Amino acid sequence: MKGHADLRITTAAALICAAVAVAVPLEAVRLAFAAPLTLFLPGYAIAAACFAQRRLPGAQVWVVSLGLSLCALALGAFVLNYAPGGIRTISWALLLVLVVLAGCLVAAARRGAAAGARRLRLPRPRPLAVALTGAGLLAAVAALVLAATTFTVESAVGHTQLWVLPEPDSGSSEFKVGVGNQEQTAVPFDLLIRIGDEPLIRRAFTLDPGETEILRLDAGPTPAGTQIPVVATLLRQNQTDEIALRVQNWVPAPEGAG
Amino acid sequence: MTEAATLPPSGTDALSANRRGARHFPLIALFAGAGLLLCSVTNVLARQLDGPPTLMLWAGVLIIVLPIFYRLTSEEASPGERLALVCLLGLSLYGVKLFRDAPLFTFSDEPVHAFNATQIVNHHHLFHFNPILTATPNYPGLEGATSALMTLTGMSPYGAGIVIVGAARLLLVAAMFLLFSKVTGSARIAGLGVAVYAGNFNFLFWSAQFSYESLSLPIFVFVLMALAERNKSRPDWGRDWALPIVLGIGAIVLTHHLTSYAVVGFLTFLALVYRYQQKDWKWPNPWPFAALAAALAVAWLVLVASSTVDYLGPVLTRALDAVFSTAAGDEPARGLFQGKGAEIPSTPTVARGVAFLAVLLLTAALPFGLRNAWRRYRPDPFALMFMVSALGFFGTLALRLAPDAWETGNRASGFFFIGLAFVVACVGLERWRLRGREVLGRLAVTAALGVIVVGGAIAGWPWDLQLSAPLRASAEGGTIVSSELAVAEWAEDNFERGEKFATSTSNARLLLAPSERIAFAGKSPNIQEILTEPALSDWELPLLEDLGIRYIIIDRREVGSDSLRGYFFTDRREVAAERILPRGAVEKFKEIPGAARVYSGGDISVYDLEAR
Repeated sequence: MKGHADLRITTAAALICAAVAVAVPLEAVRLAFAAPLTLFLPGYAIAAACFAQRRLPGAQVWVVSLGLSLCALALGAFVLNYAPGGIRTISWALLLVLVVLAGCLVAAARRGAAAGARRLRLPRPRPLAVALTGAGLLAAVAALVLAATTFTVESAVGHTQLWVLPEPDSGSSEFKVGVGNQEQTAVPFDLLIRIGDEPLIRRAFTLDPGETEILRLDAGPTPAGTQIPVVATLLRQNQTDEIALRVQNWVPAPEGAG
Repeated sequence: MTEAATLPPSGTDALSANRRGARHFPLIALFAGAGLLLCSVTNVLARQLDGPPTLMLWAGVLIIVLPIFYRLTSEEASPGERLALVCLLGLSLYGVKLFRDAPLFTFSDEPVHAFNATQIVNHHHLFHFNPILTATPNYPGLEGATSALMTLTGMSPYGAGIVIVGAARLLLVAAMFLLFSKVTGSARIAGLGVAVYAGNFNFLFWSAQFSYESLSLPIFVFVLMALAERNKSRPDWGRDWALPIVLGIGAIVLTHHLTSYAVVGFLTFLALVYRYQQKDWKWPNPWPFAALAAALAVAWLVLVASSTVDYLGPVLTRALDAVFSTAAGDEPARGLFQGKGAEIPSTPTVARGVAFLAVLLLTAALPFGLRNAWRRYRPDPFALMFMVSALGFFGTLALRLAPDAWETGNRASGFFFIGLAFVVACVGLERWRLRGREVLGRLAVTAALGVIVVGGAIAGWPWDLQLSAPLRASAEGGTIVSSELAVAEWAEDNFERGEKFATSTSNARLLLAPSERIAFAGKSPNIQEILTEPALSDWELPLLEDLGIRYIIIDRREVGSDSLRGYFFTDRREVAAERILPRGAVEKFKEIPGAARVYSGGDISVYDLEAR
C-alpha cells in the first residue's frame, strides 16, 4: 500500500479499533473504537476497492462508506453464522479487519503505484461556529440526560410484590419468599409464612420504595417424593385486618431425602 | 437555478464547497439542540403525568426543522452545507423519538427484534426462534448488524440498536439527498426533497424504531442512489457501482421481506422504462440487478424464510378483501384517527386539521410538481419512477379507509413517499419572487414544510402516544417501576433463559426485552383467549402443554394486551376508568390441579401450572 496514505491509515485504524474493542473492558471506550470499525472502515475499504480508478467526491465517500458498512454488517452476520465458532466478539473483529484489509489491498493493486495519496482536508471552523455548534451539542446531550433520568411521578399507582419460589439448586427443601416495595412511600410489612402444618413464621420489616426483601427458608426434613405446601401472606403493619397479598407454592423434597 | 445550487461535477470534493457557505450551519445546529431539549423537557413532564400540551412537542420539533427548511430554500447554500443540513434534520428528528423512550424499547416491534439480537449473541448463530413474530428471525440483517456492536462493545441490544438505527437514519437522508441531486442536478431540489420526506407519516416515530425496516429502507435508498450514479456514469466508470449495488440488494433481502419485494418492483419498473426509452436492454438498463434482486428474494423466501408466506399471506389477503368489501359498501369505511379500543382518546380536532392540511398541501403540490418534473426530467427513468410512485402514494392513502388494509397502506407509503418527496420538491415555490424579493416564497415553503412534518407525524402515530409515559419513577430516594416491568425483571432474576411464559401482549414484549425470557402472547397461538375467558376450555391446557409453557402471567388491566400502551404506570386519577378483566379470568387458573399462584404484584398474578 505504499503511496496510498488513506489505505494505510484505514488498515491501521481497523487493527487498532479491533484490538481495543476486543481487549479493553470499558464499554464506552470499546464503543468509541467499535463504532468506526463497524460503521465506517469496512465500507471505506470496499469503496476504495470499487472506485480505485476514479475517486468519489468527498461527501459521497462518507455516504457510500456508511452504506457499505451497514451492508457488510448485515451480510457479515450471515457469513459468520457458517464460520467455525459462529458469531462472537473475536469472529466479528477478525471478519471486519479482513474485509478492511482485503478492500485496501485490492484498492492498492487497482490504483497502481502512480496514484497519489488522498489527503483528507478538514474544514477549519471559526471560533464562533465552534461555540454555537458546541452549544447545540450540549443542549442535545442535556436532552439525552433528561430523557434517561427518573423523576418523581406523584400520581403513579404503585404496587407491592410478593412471591414464593422453591430453590431447586439448593440440594435441600429450601425456598425463598420475596417482597418488593414498588409503592411511592416506605411501607412497614408483616409477612406470615406457613410451611405445611407448622406454626406460622412471622417477619416484620419496613421496605423503602424500590427495595426488596428475600427470605430463604428450609421446609425441613420431608419424605422423598412428597411436597410441602408453603403459603405466604403479606399484611401492612397496623392493618392486620386486611390481607394485602397471598401466594402459595409447593416445596419439593430433595432427591434422596427421607 | 444558480451554480451554487448545483452539485459540483463528479470528481470534485463537495465538502470543499462547504467552506464557502456553511456559516449558517452552527446557528441552525444550536436551534436543533434547543428544539431537542424542549422535546425532551416535554416528555419529562409527560412522564410525570403532568399532562403537558402536545403543542410543546410540536414547538420543539418546529424549532428543529424550520431553520433547516428555511436555509434549504435559499439559493446561496452550498451542496455541502445542504447535505450537512439534511443530516442534521435526520438525526435531530431521530433524537425526538430516542429521547421519548430512553433507555428502554417500548414500540411494539422493538422488543421482538431486541430479543432476536440477544438470541444471536447468546447462541452465536442466526435463525433462533421468536415466540411472538416467528418470521422475524428469518430476516436477521438488523439483528446481525446489531450483534456486531453488542459483541464488540458489550452493550445491551438497546444501546447497540439505537446506534445502528441512528446510522441507518443518517444513511437514509444522506443517500436520498445524493439520489435526488443526481437525478435533478440540483442540490436545492435535493435538500427540499429530503425535507418533504421528513413529512412521511412514519418518519418521526414508526420508522425510527428498532425494527428491520428501519435498516432496510435506508439501504433501499442507498441502492437507488448507487444505481442513479451508475446510470449517469460512463460504462467503464459505472461498472464500479456494481458491487455496492449487489451488496445493498443482498443486505436488503437478508433484512426485510417487504423491502426486498419493493426493490424488485422498483428495479423492474426502472428496467422496463429504460427498455421503453432505449428500445433495447443494453447499458445502462438495470435489468441484471432487477433479476438478481428477484432471484435472491425468491431464493430466500423458499430456502430460508418460507414461514413469511404464513405471516404476510393473511395480511395481504385480508387487505385485498377489505378493499373490495369497503368499495362495494359491504363494510363501513375505517374512520381516520381511530384507535382500536373505545377507551383510546381520539385526536383533537385542531390536530386532525393540521394532518388534513398536510395531506392537502401535498395534494395541491402534486400537479405542479408533476408538471415541472415532467418538463425537466422526464428523459430520466428515475424521475418517471418517482412520478409514478408519487401517484402511488395517494393509492396508499385510499387503503387507509379500508379497515384491514390500513397496515398494508401504511407500510407501502414509506416507499411511495420517496417519489412524492421528489415531485413536491420540484414545485419551485421557493423561487417565487414578489417585487424582486424571494423571501415570501421561501417563507411559504418553510411554513408548508413545517405543516407537512407535524401533520405527517400526527397522521402516522396515535395522538395519545405522541408523548411518553412513565415506566420508572423516583420515590423517596429509590426507584420504583410499573407492575409490568417489575414482573419482567422478577422473571429475569428468578428463571432460566429457556423458561416459557404465556402472557398478555405488552408483558410478553417486556419479557423478551429487556428480560430475555421466552413469552407467548396474542392470537397465534391463541394465548389471548386463554387469558381473557372467564373459564377454561378443553383445548387450552393441551395447547399450553404443547408449547411447553409452565407459567401464566395474567394482567387484569385490559391495556396489557395493547403492545403500545400496556407497559406503563396507571395514573391514579384514571384508575376508576380503567378497564379490567373479570375476576374469573384470573381465578380460573386456581382450578387447574397442581397450579398455584406464586407471584402477586399490582394487577398481575403469576401461576405455576406445575407447582405441585
